[in-house]
Amino acid sequence: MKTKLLIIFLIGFQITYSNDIKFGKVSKAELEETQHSKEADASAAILYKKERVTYNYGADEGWAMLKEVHLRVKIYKKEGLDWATISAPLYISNGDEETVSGVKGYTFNLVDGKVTEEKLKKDGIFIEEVNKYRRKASFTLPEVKVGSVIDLTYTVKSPLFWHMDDFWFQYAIPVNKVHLRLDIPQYFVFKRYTKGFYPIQLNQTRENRQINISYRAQDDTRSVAYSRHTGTLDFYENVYEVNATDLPSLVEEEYTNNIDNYRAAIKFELASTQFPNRPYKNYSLSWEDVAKSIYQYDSFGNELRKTNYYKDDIDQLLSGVTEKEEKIQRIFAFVQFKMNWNNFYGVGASDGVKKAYKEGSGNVGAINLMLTSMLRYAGIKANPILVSTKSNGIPLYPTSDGFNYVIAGVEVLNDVILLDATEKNAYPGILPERALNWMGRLIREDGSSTQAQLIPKELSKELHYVNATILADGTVEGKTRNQYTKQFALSFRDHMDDTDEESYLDEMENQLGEMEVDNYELKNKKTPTKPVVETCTFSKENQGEIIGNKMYISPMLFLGQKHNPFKMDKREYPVDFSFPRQKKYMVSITVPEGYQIESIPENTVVQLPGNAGKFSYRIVTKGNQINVNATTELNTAFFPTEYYDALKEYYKNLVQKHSEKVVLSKI
Amino acid sequence: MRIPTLFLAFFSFFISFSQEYAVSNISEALLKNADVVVRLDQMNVLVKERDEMLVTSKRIVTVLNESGDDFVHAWGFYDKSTRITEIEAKIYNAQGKEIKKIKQKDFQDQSAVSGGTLYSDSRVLFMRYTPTDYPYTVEFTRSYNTINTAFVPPWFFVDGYRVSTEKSLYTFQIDCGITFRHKELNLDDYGIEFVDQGNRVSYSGNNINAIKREAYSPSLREFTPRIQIALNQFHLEGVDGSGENWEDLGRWIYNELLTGQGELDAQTIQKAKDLVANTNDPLEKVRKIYDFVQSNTRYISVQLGIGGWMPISASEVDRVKYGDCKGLTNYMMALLNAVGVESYYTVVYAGRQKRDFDEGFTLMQGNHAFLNVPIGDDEVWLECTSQVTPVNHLGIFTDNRNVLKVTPTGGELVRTKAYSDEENYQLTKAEYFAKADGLIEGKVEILSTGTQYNQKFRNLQKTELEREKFYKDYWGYINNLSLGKIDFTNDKRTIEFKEIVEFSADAYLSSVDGKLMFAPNIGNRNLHVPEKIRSRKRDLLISRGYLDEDEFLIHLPDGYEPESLLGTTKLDTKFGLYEIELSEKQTGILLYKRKLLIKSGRYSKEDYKAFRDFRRQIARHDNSRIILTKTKP
Repeated sequence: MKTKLLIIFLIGFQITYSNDIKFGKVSKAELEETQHSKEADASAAILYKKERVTYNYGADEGWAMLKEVHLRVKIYKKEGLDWATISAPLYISNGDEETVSGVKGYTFNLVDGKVTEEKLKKDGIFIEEVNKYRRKASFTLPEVKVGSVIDLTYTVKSPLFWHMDDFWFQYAIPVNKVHLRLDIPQYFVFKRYTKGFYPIQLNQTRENRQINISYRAQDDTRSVAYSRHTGTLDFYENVYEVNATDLPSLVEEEYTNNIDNYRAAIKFELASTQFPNRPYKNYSLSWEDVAKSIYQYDSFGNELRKTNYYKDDIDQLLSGVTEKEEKIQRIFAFVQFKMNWNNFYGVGASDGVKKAYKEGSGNVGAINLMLTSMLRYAGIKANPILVSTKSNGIPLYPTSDGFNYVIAGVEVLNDVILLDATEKNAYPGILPERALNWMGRLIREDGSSTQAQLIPKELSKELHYVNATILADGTVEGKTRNQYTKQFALSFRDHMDDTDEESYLDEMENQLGEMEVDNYELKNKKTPTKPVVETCTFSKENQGEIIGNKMYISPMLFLGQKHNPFKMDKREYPVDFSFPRQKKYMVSITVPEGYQIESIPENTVVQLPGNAGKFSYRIVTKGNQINVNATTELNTAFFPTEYYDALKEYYKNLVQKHSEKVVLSKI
Repeated sequence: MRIPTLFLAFFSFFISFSQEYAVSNISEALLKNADVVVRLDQMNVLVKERDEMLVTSKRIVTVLNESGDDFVHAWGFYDKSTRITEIEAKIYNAQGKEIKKIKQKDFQDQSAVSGGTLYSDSRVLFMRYTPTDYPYTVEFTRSYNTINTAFVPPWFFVDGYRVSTEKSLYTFQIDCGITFRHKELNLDDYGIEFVDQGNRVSYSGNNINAIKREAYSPSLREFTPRIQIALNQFHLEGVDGSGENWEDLGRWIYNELLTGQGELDAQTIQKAKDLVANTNDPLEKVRKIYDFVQSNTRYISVQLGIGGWMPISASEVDRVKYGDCKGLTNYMMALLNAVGVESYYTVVYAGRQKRDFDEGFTLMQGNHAFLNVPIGDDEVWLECTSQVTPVNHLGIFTDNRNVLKVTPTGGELVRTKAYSDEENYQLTKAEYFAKADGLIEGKVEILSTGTQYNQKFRNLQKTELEREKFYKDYWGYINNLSLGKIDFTNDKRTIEFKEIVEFSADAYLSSVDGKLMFAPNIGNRNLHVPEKIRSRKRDLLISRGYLDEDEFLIHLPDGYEPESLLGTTKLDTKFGLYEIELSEKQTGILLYKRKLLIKSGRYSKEDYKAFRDFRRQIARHDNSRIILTKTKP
């Protein structure tokens, strides 16, 4: 028989705050409002969001977490009607399930000046079995139209007391008022992290609590009989509170790495537990703790130490090799070739390195831990580096959850060479874009750890040589040679892997607009350590514009920056280009017979503030030849929001310069 | 489990492939232009009873590269009426060696709620396998049984572009004496063999090469071989149905799925009557009721059992004020009925790509419902899931196609309105002021109707930021664009949308050698050039035409005059007409007039090159510039 929970709340619970908004009490003013006071074009707004988390103890079930949610939403426009359906995830873990109860909802409308209410009934509540790990509860309110206010409350009961989803304070629509309160018994220590652009104040106080508990115990030490006892438990709780008002809507922008990095939110991560009469259990606190605890994972430390499965192969691979460089190259190429990434992330080897090695496939952890281990075996100082991918966000604090990826790092002098063998077109020093996210954490065998810069310091380069002749009808013919290095080469190779040559040429011809491409050749496609080079001949009509007895032609031809990537007037979030870059154009043009060069654009150099980037443009003529040497450079990958105007202006000038014309006149 | 012997004999007839999965066994012809080679695609369908259908299939697919992963199709849908009895997959490497076996318990089980649907009880089992190497081969077997015989699985011999098919076999058999109809399309062009044995039909196709995608092409289903089968008496989620022709099927839908769902309470009926109290004009009544529905309901889709085909009752929608397309259409119909306006529930294949209900083959089908209201000789159409679409605006969602109108006396295939090329109209009028420092400023007025209305009228609902983005994309060829005041007028009666936009752009005119250079087509360039296709295989299809007219007044910078004008250009082709004319209206003011008509129609594949040339020239002329020189003092 299940004992009924008997809990007495001594303090705190019955207090209603003066600023509390009561469920079901919607004001006429809220209904009369026709647009949001701060964001006039908002389609809906969250007028109030309350989340209240408490812990309860049950004799049979142990600790469980209760999360009580109250949401009040106002609909301003028809596009806002989607907000009349609200959903919540319910997690399932090893047979423990989160459940939802106490669902109450009302839609309030103003009809002929009177407030009407319509109740959410059972037919508006849906629980969907999404998969083994998750259900989804959805609540859809009745009678919702433009002007409606909906009030919804529900409670999620969770036996997964160690897990809390992030508490969000910002959404795609504005939020007027937020109240978050968590009462967490002293037995659970959570680390709290606030994030986002919008500052959130988290208050912490302490309150005492007593609960009645019932438990089973031996009647006396000599007896074998057990019976139920009751008693009280005194402890304190940490109370965390957030009260915030007027949070603006969160709008996606281009060139943003992951919008979640900017959302105002609080994350609670379990750091340790200390239950009565039980040992202290640490989860993670400092970077050292994170490093240690990850090392202790069977799927990590143990997997890293195994050497037997590859010993013979590596011995053979390295026989006679003495140079360190050569060893690194060989091992990397060996793992890269042998192992196939199964598209799963993870810091640990999910099915073990041995199995992965045998099958030739594994997750990120399996492949790169194997790589690290082999490098160590060969006497190279290699260590795993924990990474959070772009899609996972930026880890700003010590946390093991914050990492979802691992690479290998070889420490040399003052630098670390980064290696990721999951990517077929990478090579030592070059990481796939998914891993180019801020800082990684390098973990040494002794548990010490250090930050590792993931964003490349060196420029990735594109080099375009063109040797062209203009014909009298404005057609341009010639030869071009394009060369790509580092990250540019990686993405170019990745793209070429996904397409055959014919489709690529079609694509190129269509992209460059009306170009005929012939004699295409690709070099070093399969040798990642070398720059990839493509050459072809081309012919493009109407490149020169003939007006009267003049011909106007852009000496950049079909190359160069055509559009400003930053069109919007304002920007909220930083710009992320992923890696620093340089593009260089060397164009040499022969003018048609019967024409002479009348004028050419001016030379110029434009700098971004703080040496963050620059472009230069130099043009000279010699007889009937025009030679252009143009370079663009961004020395950093990440531009804070303050840089936006400068960046936009920079591109404006660049586009303008690249579109300038040479004037030819008939002799 | 007891299985009749006949059934065993029938289903054990799968082609044995043995160890022939090696990629080296695939012919060159099948590999060409292919991302996947379907080595074998076989399905056997057996109808045992009106409400019992067994479907067994085996599919062997060799995936050559990553794009091919989507064609493995190793999944099975199920719900309360459909049970999967067997599902299994085996993976083979390029040499044809088995490397992995995936059993039923290893399939991912999850809900199959599609986007836009809040809830349904449909679930899916799907194979989770991440390929470690290409090519690889998947052998997938699946059996399921269902009570729903209203939908016999159709058969496609070509699964998509860049897919080749080595062998494709389909058999349909009926064991309970129910008559059925079958329709074959494009079999001969692909050498598909067909055997008709009365209660059993079977088809087989061999060596069908991969087809490359071409722009402006008819849809794949129009020119590739496929089979459709329909029972004359069928079952659907607890309801028996029948219909050999559209009239009968429509009558069944009316009687079984609609009748009784239209009741409204007296209060609501009165409310509807009050809404139209001041008018006798049926169209006015429709407008009033439609407006009421649009402002009081929202689209929520919940599909459960027969609810996937039967609308929830009008009184239910009236209470909660939401529903799916069927529920909202039925609700609208009930309200119109309350005010004495007759209307008809209509089933359609909605979507940008037009798809017809086949006059010659009656089949339970469609993916959407909307409402038909005959007024006099006119047909008025109402899209009930949208809160903003005007009365009788079909847009590209439901225009120009055969749909099934359901009436008490039976079903009727009718064709929805086709927009003429000229109806899809846009008129852009603008006045611009150019400055010597390169700046251009202007005010643009754009009027849109027909499908062009369809593309624009949602701008009204956009936020300021979204509008900024829209216009900066729309005029993407103008660098440094900066927007001023934006105004919209949406006339829902005439179905006209008007935008008034003020903008300016720095450095629009470029200075070359003391002269100024700029393109007089500032406000409406059509720069799309269809992709080059080396050897076109299929007809050129322009499914919707349009007409753009433009009139720009351009005030030149003080002290400048045109060195030369563009002159008049006229391109008159069978695909359309393009005319531009630039003239000096008075000193310092240019008038740019432009007309572009694109004609809808079907043209031969040989015409594609000419069409592309036409579009190329348009793009070139729209970009062409003129030179201004300093006026001589």
